[in-house]
Amino acid sequence: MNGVTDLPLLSLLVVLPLAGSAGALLAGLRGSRQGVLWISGISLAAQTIFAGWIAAYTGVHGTVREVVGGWSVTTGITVMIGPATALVLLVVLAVALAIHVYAAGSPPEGMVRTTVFFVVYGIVVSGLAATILAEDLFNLFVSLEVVSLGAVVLVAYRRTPRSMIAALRYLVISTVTIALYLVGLLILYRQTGELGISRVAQALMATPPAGRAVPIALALIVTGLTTRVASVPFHVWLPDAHSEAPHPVSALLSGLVLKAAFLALYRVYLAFAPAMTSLVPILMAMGAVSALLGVILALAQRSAKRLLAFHSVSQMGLILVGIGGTGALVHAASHAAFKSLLFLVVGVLATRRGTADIYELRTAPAGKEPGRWEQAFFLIGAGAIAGVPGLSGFVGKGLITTSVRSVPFLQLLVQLVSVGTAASFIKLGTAFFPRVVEPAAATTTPPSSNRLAPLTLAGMAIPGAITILIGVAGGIHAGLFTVAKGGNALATLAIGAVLFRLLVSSPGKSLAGGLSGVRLGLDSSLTAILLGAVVLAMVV
Amino acid sequence: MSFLPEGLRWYLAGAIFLVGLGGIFTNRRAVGKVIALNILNSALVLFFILLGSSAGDSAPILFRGDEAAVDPLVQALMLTAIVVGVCVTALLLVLIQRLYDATGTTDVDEIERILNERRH
Repeated sequence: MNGVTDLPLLSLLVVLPLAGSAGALLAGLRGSRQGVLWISGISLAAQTIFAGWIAAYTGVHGTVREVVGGWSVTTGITVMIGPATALVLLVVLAVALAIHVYAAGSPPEGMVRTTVFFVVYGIVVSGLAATILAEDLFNLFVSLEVVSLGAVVLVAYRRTPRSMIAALRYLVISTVTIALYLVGLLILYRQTGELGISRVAQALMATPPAGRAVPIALALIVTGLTTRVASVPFHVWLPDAHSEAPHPVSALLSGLVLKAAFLALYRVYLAFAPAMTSLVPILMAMGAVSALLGVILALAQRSAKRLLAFHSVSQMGLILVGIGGTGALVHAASHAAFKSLLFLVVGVLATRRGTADIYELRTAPAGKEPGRWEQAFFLIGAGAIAGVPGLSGFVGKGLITTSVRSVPFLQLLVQLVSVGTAASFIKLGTAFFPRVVEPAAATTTPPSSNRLAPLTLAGMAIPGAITILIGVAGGIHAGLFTVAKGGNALATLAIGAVLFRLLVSSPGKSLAGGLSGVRLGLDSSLTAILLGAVVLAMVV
Repeated sequence: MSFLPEGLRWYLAGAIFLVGLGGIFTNRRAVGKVIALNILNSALVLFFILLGSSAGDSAPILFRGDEAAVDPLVQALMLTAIVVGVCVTALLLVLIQRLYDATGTTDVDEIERILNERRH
C-alpha cells in the first residue's frame, strides 16, 4: 500500500491503559483507593491525549502503522490506523475517559471491588484500542475476546442473579459466534496463506478462487463481527447485558464496545467489498432490519435502560445502512458520545430513585426530582438521537440519508426510524420532566439530594460537549443547515409526538406490554444465531 | 497420525466440531454447555493443527535444512486460542456457580424462569 507512514509507538495506545491497570492493581494491593482512581485515570487521560496527537498526525500524513517489535511487515504483528478512523478512535477514548471520571465520582464500596472495577475497565479500554488498530484477522479475534471477557466481568459486577445470567448469555453467545469466526479465518488462511485483512483481500483479488469456500468463510467472519455490532438476528445478547450492567458499564458497552466492533467490521468491509460485491447489500439489509426492529422494540419498553439498549440496536442498524458513505463513521462517533451520555444521565436518575421504570419515574417526590443539569444533559442526548439540528445525531443521520438517496425505500426507512426514535425519547423525557408530588408524610428528604458530585457532572460534560461540537462543526462542514433539512427535523419531531400520544393510549399500552414481554431463552437465541449464520452463508 | 488418510482426519475433526456445536444446543444444564464449548474449541485447534501439518510434520526447530517442517504460525495462533478458551471456561464456571448459589439450579431456562417470576 502506498501512503503508509511508519509510526513507532503507535501501539502505546494499547499499552498505556494496560500499564495503568497494572499500576492500579498494585495501588489496590497496597490499599490506596485514591491511587487506584488516579493511576487508572491518568493512564486513560494520557491515552486520549496521544490519540488526539495521532488524529492530528494522520490528518497531515495519512495512514500510519507500526510493526510491533520491529519485525518485517510479512512476519510481524501490524497495527494501523487511517485519518477518519483516528478521529472516531479519539472520540471513543475521550468518552472512555469521561465514563471513568463519572464512575470515579461514585466508586463502588469496598477496596477490592473498586480495584477490580477500575483494573478491568482499563483492560477493556485497551482491548477497544487494540480492536480498532488490529490489521490482521487473528489479532482482531484476540482483541475482541479481551473486550468481551472484560465486559462480562463488568456486566456481572453487581453480582445480582439477573446481571449474572445476562453475563452468562453474553459470554456463551459471543464464544459460539467467535468460534464460527475462527472457522472462517481458517478457510481464508488455507486459501491465501495470509492473515492480514488487506493482504488476504489482495490475494483473493489476484487469484479469485472458485467454489463456495471463500464466500462461506466471509459469511462466518461477518457473523462473528455483526454479533459484536448487535445486528438482527445476532443482537439477542444485547438488551439484557446492556440493561442489567451498572450504569457506567452500560455506557461503555453501548457507546464504545459496539463502536470498536463496528470499526473492525468496517475495516473488513473496506478490504473485501471489491472482491465480494454481495457484501454491501447484505450489510445494508441487516442494518435496515435492525434499525426498524430495534426502534419498535424500544418503543415497547418500560425500563429506561432497556429502552436505551434497544435504541443501540436501532442506531447501529442505521450506521450499517450508511456503511457505503462517510455518514457511518460520523454517526458511529456521535452515537458513541450521545448514547454514553444518555446512559450516564439515566444512571444518575435511576440511582437516586432506585428504579429505572419510566412509568414510576413520571412522578417524583419533591426533593428527588431531576436537577437542571440532568435535564440539560438529557435534552442534549435525546436531541442528538432524535436528530435535532445543531446536535451530532442530525449530522450523522443527514449524511446517511444522503448516502442512500438512490434507494427511496431506505430513505423512507431512515425517516420511519427517526419518527419512532423521537416518540420514544418523548416517552423517556417524561421521566426527566416529571410531575412533582409532595413526599409521603413522615419521610422528609434533605433538600440538597438532587445535587450532583463534581466528578459525575464532569463525566457527563465531556460527551455532552462532543455531541454539540460534532453537531455544529459537522453540520456547517457538510452544509446540512438548510431550511429543508431543518423543516424535516421539525416535522419528524411533530409526527413523533403524535406517535407518542398513540403509544400511551390504552391499545398502544397493551400492544407495548405484549411486545416487551417477548424474551428469547438462551437456546432459542443460539438457534436464531445459527440460522442467521446459515442464511448469511447462502446469500454471500 | 500418519496412518490416517488426509481426508479422513478432516472429517474426524469436523465430527468433533459438530458434537461440540450440538452439545451446546442439546444440554439444558449450563455445565454441559461449558463442556460442549470446550469440545468445540478443541475441534478448532485440531483444524488449525491439521492445516499446519499439511506443510510437513517435523518440528520447525534446529533445522538441518532438508526437512519439511509444520507451519509454526498456526501453532502459535492455537496457543493463544487455547489461553483465551481457558479464560472463557473459568469465567463461565464462576458465573454458573454463583447462579447455582442464588437459584439452586444450573438449568439455564429454569434460572431465567425463576428470575422472571421473582420480578413479578
